[in-house]
Amino acid sequence: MSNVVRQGELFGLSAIIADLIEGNLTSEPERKRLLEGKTKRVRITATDLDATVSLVLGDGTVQISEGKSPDPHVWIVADSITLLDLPNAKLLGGLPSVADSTGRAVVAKMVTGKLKIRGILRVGTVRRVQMLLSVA
Amino acid sequence: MPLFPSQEWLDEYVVMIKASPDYAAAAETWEGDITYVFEAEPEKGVPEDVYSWMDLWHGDVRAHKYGVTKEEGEAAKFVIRAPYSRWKEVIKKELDPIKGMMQGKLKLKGDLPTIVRYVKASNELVNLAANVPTDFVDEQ
Repeated sequence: MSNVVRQGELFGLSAIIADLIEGNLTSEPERKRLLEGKTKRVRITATDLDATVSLVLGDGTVQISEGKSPDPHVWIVADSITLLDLPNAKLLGGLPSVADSTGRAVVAKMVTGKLKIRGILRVGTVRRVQMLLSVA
Repeated sequence: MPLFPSQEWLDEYVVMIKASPDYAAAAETWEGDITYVFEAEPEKGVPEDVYSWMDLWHGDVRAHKYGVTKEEGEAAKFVIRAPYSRWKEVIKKELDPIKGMMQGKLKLKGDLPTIVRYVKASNELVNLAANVPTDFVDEQ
């Protein structure tokens, strides 16, 4: 059984995130450990596309659906190009590394408000999402 | 000017790719063939789906074929498909290809992590398509 559970028909951004995570879990099955632990709800919004995708991590799966799920623990908001920077940033401790140019760009966008992560203090959840998406 | 879609257009496109230092740099380690599917829009002069295949390798195009069969085209490592008029929007730079994929306007089949890793090369590929002087079949 796939660890990626697609709830309803996924389209555009949500389909891309589902395919991205599925591809990463297939090529690196050790990342499945990121789906264990407490259930966490994550929302990702691409502001320029007016698109939102919701993820629920836990019980060994990630459930992905179109639109807004209630009360996310973490909500990532940015334009679509910035969202694509996130998987390409090299990670240090599961978070974007400033030793890498893409990582620096991501951090700079956070500082300037172009990338907003609500619930950023829930570092464990942010780290889980970042590591699930990473292709760097 | 080459007519889109046509063999002549694909040939010109490949010349552009091979001459592009930006693409060569962005795709330096890329390995994998790709098919563009220009989906039929009979009322616009594209009566059936057109499969254009390119074997992309380390920033170069090793081979290309226009009008391959569906089976040949779908066998590529990556397949990007959209109706003819969406491709026209991309070539006219009215639609950003990456945003188009994220909006579901262009559909991609293949390993997403690889595409995301090479997003700059993907973008450059489509930007080059926009540089081909083009006549569109529905404007004839």
